[in-house]
Amino acid sequence: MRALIILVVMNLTWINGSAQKIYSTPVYLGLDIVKGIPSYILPDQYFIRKTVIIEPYVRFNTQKTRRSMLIGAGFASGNSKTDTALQISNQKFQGVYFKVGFEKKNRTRPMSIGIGPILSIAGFKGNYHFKGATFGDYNATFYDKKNIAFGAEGYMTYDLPLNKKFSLRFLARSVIAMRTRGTISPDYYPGIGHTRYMQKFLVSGGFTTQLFFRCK
Amino acid sequence: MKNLLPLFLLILILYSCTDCGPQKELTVGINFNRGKDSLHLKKIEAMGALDQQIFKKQVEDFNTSRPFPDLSLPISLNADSTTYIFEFQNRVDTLTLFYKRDFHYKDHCGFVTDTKSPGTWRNSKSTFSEVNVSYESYLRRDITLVSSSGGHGISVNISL
Repeated sequence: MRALIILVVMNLTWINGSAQKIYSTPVYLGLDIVKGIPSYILPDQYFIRKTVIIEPYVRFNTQKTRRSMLIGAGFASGNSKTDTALQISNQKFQGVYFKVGFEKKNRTRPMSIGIGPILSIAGFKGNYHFKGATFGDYNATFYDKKNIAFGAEGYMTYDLPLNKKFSLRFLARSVIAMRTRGTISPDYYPGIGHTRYMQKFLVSGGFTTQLFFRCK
Repeated sequence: MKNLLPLFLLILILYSCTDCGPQKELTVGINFNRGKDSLHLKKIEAMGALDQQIFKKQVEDFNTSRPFPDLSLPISLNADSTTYIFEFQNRVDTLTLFYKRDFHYKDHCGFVTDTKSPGTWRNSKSTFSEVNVSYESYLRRDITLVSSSGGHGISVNISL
């Protein structure tokens, strides 16, 4: 009986030890550190201006080997570059978005690929203008609130460790999404990116850099 | 491939396009029921106009061109009515035209400007004996490379 108890205890200890090895879950907290910056540094060249983009992430390993999961949220608020082609000047946008990514790490390189859903809720505001040579120009303001877009984001990453705790993640992404509500064609859709001249079906992509902190 | 060429051309000809309309100050076509040279316009003015230049040009064409042209006068985008004063050789008439402005967003065009019937029993107010106003969209419909319909906007027919 005593031997059986010792055997069970040893077995449980081994399982527990193995489980900790297999199911170890380092948790990373991340923040996008690039997306809004060009809008301040190069306001005339870049397609958005003075745009605040805050995009925090939580990333953790899952039970499967080389698999991890990323949960992100974002907030974007700013202006797009003036474009009078659609009679619109000074298009302002604001939105919040949520995304989840299911990632798979490369065996040998510090690279991952990921895919997951994205949901973005945004609003747009701007002025439109018609020239009136005889009676004067007509100026008005439009509001396009409660836009909802959902879709999928796919991405590739390269992780560069800076030290034991911090790492940089270089990321290339592409998104496809459908807008369920909304009238105007947005120059920039929060969470999705450059969407000028797109109406219901949004396709975008880009590059960015995120800073991750390993907290466990 | 040669056999497909006519098909491509047919598709191209029948391909439907989008009309964005004038996307600027709209104009109204005014036709006078008049005899040969019985009507000589001295001046047209519009209430609230910042620039009367276009009216001078219209008066000149009205008096000199043959066959008699319709007037093409701008309407205000800042109000749902525009008032014109017509000064003839021996009389002065006024015409106030009512309409409902319609600014809306259209795919691939951005914001477009159009007008609708004012939705009231009165389309115009005038000292002319008879004024008939017909309303049509300024945006053409059913556009292909070879045809389209509509897009004439507001037309006015005046009897002195």
